[in-house]
Amino acid sequence: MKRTLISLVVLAATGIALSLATGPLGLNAPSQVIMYLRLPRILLAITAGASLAVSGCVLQAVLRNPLATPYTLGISAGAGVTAGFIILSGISLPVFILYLSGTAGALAASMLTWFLAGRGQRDHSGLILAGVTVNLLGASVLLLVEYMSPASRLVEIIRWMMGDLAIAGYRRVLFLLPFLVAGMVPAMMRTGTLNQFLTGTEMAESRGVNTVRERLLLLIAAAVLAGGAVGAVGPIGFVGLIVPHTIRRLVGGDYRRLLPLSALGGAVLMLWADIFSRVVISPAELPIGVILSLLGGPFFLYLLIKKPRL
Amino acid sequence: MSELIFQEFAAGYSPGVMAVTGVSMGITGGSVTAVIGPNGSGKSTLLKGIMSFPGIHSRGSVTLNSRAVHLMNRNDRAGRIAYLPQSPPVPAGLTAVETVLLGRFPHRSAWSSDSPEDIRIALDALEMVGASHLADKFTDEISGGENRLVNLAAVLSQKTEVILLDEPGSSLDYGHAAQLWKLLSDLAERGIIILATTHRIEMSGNAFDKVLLLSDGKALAFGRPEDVFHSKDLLSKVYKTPMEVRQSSPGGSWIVFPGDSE
Repeated sequence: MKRTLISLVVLAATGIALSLATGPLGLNAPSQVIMYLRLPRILLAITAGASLAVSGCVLQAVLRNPLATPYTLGISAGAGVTAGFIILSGISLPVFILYLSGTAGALAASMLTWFLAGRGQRDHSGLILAGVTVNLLGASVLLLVEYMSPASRLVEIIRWMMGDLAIAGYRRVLFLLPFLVAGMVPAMMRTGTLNQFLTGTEMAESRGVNTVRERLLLLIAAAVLAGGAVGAVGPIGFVGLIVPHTIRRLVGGDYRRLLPLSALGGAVLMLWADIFSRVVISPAELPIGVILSLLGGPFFLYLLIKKPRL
Repeated sequence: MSELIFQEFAAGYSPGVMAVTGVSMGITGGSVTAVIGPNGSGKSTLLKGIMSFPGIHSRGSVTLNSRAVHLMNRNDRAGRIAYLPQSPPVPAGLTAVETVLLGRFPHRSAWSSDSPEDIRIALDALEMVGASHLADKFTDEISGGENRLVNLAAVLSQKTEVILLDEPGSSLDYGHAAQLWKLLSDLAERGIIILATTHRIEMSGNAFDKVLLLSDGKALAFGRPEDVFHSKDLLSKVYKTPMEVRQSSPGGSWIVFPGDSE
């Protein structure tokens, strides 16, 4: 536990330092570049990474499924559809509205999933099936949007779906902040309750957990965290899967340790993936979503083969 | 002495269709009550009904020391009544002692750490079920029967006046099953009310003092085992196979004889 915490803090600190120094101009960059390009980017990586990791970690307990991620709730599809429509419409909107539409789409999709699954009255497998359905539905609508789009807009939509952290100024960080607080605080206050979900609804209920209310609250927290992150950086996958599982291997499944360390782990993964995306084909950048999917794909397969219990 | 009183209690999965009806009985602390009956006779639903789980509807009343159980708030109830389901999921990445500590949840806040007192209670509970050696093992690396003991320890660590158990002996070998029923009877001697469903009368020796016989969702008989088992016609009718339950010796273990064992 202590070793993991120290390692993550060291990785975060070196990541921040390296990220501050990384860029076409290296250490010779003027201070404006560092203050308005590199620093906000670091903050965005940290907040988005922590949000996505905590969201996945919460969902894995509440849905009692090791393969649950924010995308299990249809979040990526929802965000993709709304952002896709806005880009297709060609209306020139403030960038802020584009972020907000991604978030709104993500939250709407997770609400649709919730209602399709019978508002949590049925068991969690119903919720996962509903999420898969919403995801498929969203993906088809998005394909239709892409099919109807002129080439220039098509590129824009595809680029948005890949996710990116390239920003100037603090707007996106500030956008994400309220979602981060609104999702992180209730989740962190419920680590003991999350532990109770591990032994099933009936055991949790018999020990005094209002499982219907708590499950809904935790699902909302997870959706808000992922929705905010998706709005700010695009639908970046796999952080919510890789991080909690790796941390669980290191410190065990007690959510009182697992959840805060997953937040830190998500921040570290995003920081380092971002550094990687900037140096591989420097001075150009690879989309961070692509890097994380390339990492996440094999990891997902590993999980399927190893079948860890939850 | 604690008292659990049922009056025309019924429970089911929808308000119109009750899976078990007509349960009227009084159980006092210091006794083990076995709930028996064929598959689908409503044994598990009865326990879930007492716990007022979400999605379970009930009629009639269950009172613990004159307080209606379904009116207690969850936390209050969790401090008084513990419940062990038939096959709770195995928690990922938790050791046996961490799993037992989950039973201390009603006695502390939602995110606080385990006090030395909690840990002592958890280790004691593991010892009581004879599973001290499993304390630091991960629950997803031990057997189904061993997990059963760990879950039982978790229920004990909840320190309640009433313990409801749904087939606690299933997946246990002869030795552990005998040990389990002995433990339940010891707990009852301390004044705890034990209500356990079972399919295996013969595995429980003579650990129970009362029997509730359910058939097709109806409470057919409640009383001392010698009275309920007295009529072999009743049991044969309920289980739809010729059978008889006799005691090995006066005060000895109950033995089930299948068929016409004249």
